[in-house]
Amino acid sequence: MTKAARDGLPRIAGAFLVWLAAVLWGSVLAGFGPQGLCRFLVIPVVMSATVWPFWVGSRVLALVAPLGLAAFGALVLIAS
Amino acid sequence: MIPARRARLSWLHRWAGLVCGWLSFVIFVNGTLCLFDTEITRWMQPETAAVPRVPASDAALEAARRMLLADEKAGRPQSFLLLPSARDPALRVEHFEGHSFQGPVLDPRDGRIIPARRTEGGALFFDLHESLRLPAPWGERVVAVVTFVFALLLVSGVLLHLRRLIPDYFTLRLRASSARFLLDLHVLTGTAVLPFHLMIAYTGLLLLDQNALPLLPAHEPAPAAVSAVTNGETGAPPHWAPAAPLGPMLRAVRARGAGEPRYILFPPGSSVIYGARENVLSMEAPVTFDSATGQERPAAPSFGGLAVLGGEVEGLHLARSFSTGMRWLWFAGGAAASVLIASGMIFYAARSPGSLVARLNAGVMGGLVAAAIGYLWANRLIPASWPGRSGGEIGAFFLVWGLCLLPAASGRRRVPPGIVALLGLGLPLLDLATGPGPHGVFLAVDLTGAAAGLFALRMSAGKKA
Repeated sequence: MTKAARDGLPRIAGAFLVWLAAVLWGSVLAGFGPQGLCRFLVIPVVMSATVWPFWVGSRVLALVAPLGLAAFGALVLIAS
Repeated sequence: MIPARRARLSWLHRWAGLVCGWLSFVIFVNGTLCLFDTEITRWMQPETAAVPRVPASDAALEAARRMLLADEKAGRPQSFLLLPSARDPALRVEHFEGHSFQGPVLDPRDGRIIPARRTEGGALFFDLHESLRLPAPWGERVVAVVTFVFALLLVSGVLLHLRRLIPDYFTLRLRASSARFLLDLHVLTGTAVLPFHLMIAYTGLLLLDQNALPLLPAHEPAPAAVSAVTNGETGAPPHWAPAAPLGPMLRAVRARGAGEPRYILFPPGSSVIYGARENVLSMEAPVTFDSATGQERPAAPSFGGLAVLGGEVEGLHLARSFSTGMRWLWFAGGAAASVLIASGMIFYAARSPGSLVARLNAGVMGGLVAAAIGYLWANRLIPASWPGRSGGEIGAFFLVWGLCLLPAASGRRRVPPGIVALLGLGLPLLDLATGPGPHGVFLAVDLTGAAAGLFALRMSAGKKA
C-alpha cells in the first residue's frame, strides 16, 4: 500500500462517518420537525462537510472526530 | 493552501473521480438526454407525426375511459392518462412496465388508436439516469452514492482551483499539448457552469432523499392508520377506473385557470387532475373528482411551504414545465458536466496511456454515446409490428455499447468515436428514409445526432483523440 493510500483510506472512512453522523443527527432533528425540511438543510452540509477529513492535517482527528460525532448522535437518538 | 493539504485534496479528487467517473458520466449523459425524453419518444414513434396539436375531445377521453374500464375488468395494471401537450400532441394511456411507462396512443380528435410502434422511447434514458436500470432500490442507492461523490469532487475541485478560479474561467489553450488542453477544458467546464453543477447535485440528492439521507423514523406509524388506508372504509377496494366521463372534469379544471391539465391519475375511487404552467417550477395543486359521480371533491388542505419547496426543487431538476429554450439551456449545462467528467477521466488516463482505464475510457464513454444513437437506429430498423421490438431496442442499446467496449479494451481506441461518427452522421439519412420527413422534433433529433457524429469524427481524426 502506498503512503498516499495509507493516509487516504482513514480519511475516506472519516468522510463516510461524517455522512453517518449527518444521518443520526438529522434523525434527531427530524424529531422536532418535518423530515423533508431536515433533509433540505442537512444534505448541503453533508455535501461540503465530507471534504473536511481531507482538509484536516491529522488523520487520527479526521477519523475520530466524525466517529465521536456519530456516536454522540446515536446516543442522543436512543435517549430521545 | 499548504502543499500537504493540496496533495490530500488532489488524491481525493483523483481517486473519487476514477472510481465514480464512468458512473457519473452515464448519469449525466442520460440525464441530459432525458431533458428531451418526450421529443425522443415522438421521434421513435413516427406514426404519431401527423397528430395535430389540439386538446383531447370528449370522444377521445371517452375512448380512453373505456380502455381504462376494460383494463380494470381484465385485471391489468393500473393506468393513467397523459394528456395532449405542446411537446406531445397524442393522448396516451400508460401503465408501468417494469422500467418505464408504456401503453396505447390515441388520436386526441376522435380517440382512434394510432398504431404506434411499441418502444420505451426517451424513458430508457430517464431510467438509466435515475437508477442505472438496476433493480429497486439498489439503482437509486448507487445513484445517490455517486451523486454524493460528485458533490465531493466539485467541492475538492473548487478548493484545489480556488486561487485560479477567475483566470481559469477565461483559459482554453486549443493549440497547447493534449494534456494541457484537456486540463483547461476540465477546469473551464467545471468553473463556468459551477452553479449548475452544484444545483443539479443538490436537487438530485433531494430527489433521492430516502437513499441519500435515510433518516431513522422517530415513531412507527400507528397500525390502525395503516389498515384504514389499505382497506378503505367499506373493507372492499373501490374501482380505480373512472365511471364518470372525464371531459366535464377537464373543463372544470380549465375554467379555474389553474394551468393546463397535464395528466390524470386514478387512485381507487378518484380521478386526480394535475396541471402546470410553462416555466413555473412546481405543479398546480391537483383537483380531485369522484370517479363514480364526477363530482369535484373538496380541495385537500393547501400545500404547505415545504411541499411547495419540494415541488420547486423537483421542477428545477427535472425541467418538465420549462420552455424549449430553457430546456436547451439545461441541456448545455448537462453537456458541460459530461465534458467535465470525460476530460477529467481522459486527463487522468493520459499519464499512463496503456493502462486499462485509458483503454476503457473510449469504450465506456464513447460507447454510451454510440449506444444512444444505435438505439435510435434499432428503433427504425426493427419491424414496427414485431411484438418483442421494445426489448429488442434495449438489447441493441447494450449490444452497441458492448461492441464499443471490446475493441477499446484491446487498445483500438478510435473504434468507438468512429462508430459514433458513422451512426450519428447517418441518422438524418435514416430518418429521411424511414420517417415522416425532416421537420420539428424529427429534424432536431437528426441534427443533434449529426452534431455528435461530427464531434466524434473530429475526435477520432484529430491528434487530441
